Amino acid sequence: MSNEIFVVGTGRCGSTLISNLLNHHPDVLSLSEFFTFVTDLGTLISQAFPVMKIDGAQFWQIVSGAYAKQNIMLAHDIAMKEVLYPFKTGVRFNASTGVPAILQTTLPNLTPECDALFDQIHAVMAARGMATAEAHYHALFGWLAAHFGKSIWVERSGGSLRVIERLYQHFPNAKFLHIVRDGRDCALSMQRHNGFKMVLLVFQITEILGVDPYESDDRSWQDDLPDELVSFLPESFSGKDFLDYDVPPSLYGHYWSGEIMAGVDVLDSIPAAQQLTLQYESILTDTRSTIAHMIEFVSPDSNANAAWCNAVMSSVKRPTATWHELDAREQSRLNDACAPGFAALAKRGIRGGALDF
Amino acid sequence: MNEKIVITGGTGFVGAHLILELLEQNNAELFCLVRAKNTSVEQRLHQQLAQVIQGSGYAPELINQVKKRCYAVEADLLGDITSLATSIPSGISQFWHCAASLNYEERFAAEIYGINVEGTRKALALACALNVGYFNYVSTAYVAGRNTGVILESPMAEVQSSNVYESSKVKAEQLIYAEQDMKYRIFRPSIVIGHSRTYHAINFSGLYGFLRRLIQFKGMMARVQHGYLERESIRMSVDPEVPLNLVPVDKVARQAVAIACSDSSNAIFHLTNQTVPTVGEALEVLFATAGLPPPKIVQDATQYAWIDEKFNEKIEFYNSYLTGYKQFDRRASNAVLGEHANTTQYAVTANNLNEYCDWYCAQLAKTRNQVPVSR
Repeated sequence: MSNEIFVVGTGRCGSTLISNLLNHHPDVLSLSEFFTFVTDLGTLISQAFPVMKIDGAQFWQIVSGAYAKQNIMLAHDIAMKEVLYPFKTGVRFNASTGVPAILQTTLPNLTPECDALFDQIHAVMAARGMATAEAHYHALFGWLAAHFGKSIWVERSGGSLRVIERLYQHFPNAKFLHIVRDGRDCALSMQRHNGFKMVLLVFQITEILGVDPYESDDRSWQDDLPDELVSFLPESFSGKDFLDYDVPPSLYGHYWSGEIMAGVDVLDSIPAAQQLTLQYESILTDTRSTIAHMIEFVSPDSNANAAWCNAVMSSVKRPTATWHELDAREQSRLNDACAPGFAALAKRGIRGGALDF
Repeated sequence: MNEKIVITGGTGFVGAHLILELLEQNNAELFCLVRAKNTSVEQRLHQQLAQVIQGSGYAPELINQVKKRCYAVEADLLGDITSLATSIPSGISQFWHCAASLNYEERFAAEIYGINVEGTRKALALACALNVGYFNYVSTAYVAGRNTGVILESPMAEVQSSNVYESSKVKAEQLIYAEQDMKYRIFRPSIVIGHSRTYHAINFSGLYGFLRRLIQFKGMMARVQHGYLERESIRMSVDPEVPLNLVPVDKVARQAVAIACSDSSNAIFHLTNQTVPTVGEALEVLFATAGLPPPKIVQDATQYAWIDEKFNEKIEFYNSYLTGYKQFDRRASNAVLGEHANTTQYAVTANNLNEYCDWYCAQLAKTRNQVPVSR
């Protein structure tokens, strides 16, 4: 069976918990938020998967790029909590220099000596010749797994349902672990997450300007920007305005539904043996059997699974906020927004528990 | 000796058409005040007029009249104009002030007031210095703001404006009313759209701004959830039976010049259209052009979902057009022009509005980048 696994979900669906649990497995290398940052929060997806062959140096530029959106968040002290690189105290990379994508979370999650590891990977990848992006990614993840003495790698990025089609194209033999959480709780959690807020702001500005404002300085259509969005152009960015900008959970509910609908379309095309869907709520309520089921999917041949289950059981904690805390009007709006997503899941037979409404 | 006329805003939408209409209708020499930009003022003016001649189906030979009788004078009404009068010959019979900012966002408030109010103050001072016979000002029918019912062709005193653009035009009109020593005419066109036959336009606010925002909003939602707005109608609280007074730019120019050539003693004229669609009909066309189902008209904003609120916020500027029945009185205009001459030619209906919209969408596709939704 494949030793390449992707954990996919809508974002804020509990996949970080999965990543953290798997990090304790002796056979598993847990690659956290790799594609989140390499695609600059999902806004540069096609650039991260070039169609033409590229050499190792070009590939290294993709994975080690200091991308604008994620780094402006560091500069304005609104970094996502997933960022592990010590950019406030690090002497090599900081908010001024920009932190390379692979160093934001992925490498610090593997080792405190992440700068040294960064240099090692650079040397290995830059020496590679022309190849497809797919081959370079395989080489990178394989090298990291070997470096840490692991036989399996699991990549997990928040909101990676958005790239599942690309992942399946580039890794047709990989296994996909799909984590589903009640969309209303996902939406509430997204609302409180700076990364998702940034993405929604960029969506709006990009559509008005006709360009990604963080990738282009073309401001021909700037007069069309409403006053409320001017503070989120890179040249006039305000961290305070960012924190004050309020997006209701229902918009994220629409986003969740959209991601679920598009994601399950792709999952339908992936052979059943290569995928497993788990409900986050089941991990909370039926922890042992759910994570046992999961690890059998991830590493069916490992003899460390039972011990791993015992060791990580107590790490599973319930989240503190739920959508039931919203006022009746917003609950109603959120129900409406999530209904198409629930319907798409229901078609795949995913029902029950917290998903009943 | 030929009549001499001064015009501001000649590179703008209405101003350019006025110039061409004046060139067609009489033998006047036109002195066009043009702000300096990258190219020479003459080149900029003539290029713009050539574009309008071509796009709007004027006789191609009219460009020769432009070159012969249309003089560009470098001028910035926001700057020092004390010596400007010396650059313009004496004996000016008419001063047309068309220059305006059509922005409306609050962040542009200073610029809008600068151009529309202070610019008018300077234009009046210059007209006085030139001792002109008539000061003609292109205002807007929407100085009426939130007033409803019959809107008279009379001075606008206290009025609740919907935005900074409208209030700036009211203030500019008030400066003109206060001018004691000069005859004036104020022209108030409604929502100016492209040419009645070719649909060509060079300014894309008003109807086009609404359509553009609708397209942008559809795009934003497509990034959030593919196909959402194609499935779910946007809710709007508007008056669907209210007429949406759209007037082709060539009708505005023709009416204004005809009035200016008349001996009418009236001072304020509505340059509106007789045959126009209702708000409901127009919205249906606009939404269809954007590839969306018609909006769902609701009684009030309490029935909005968040997405409806967001959309309605983005088009708040257009509320004056979409709500409140306004009947623009035209007694002064009709006294000169008759009861809407050439009604058929200038009619804007649910049946031909899509032609104006499609023309604009084609322009938009040529001039605007599009970042594909990436997955």
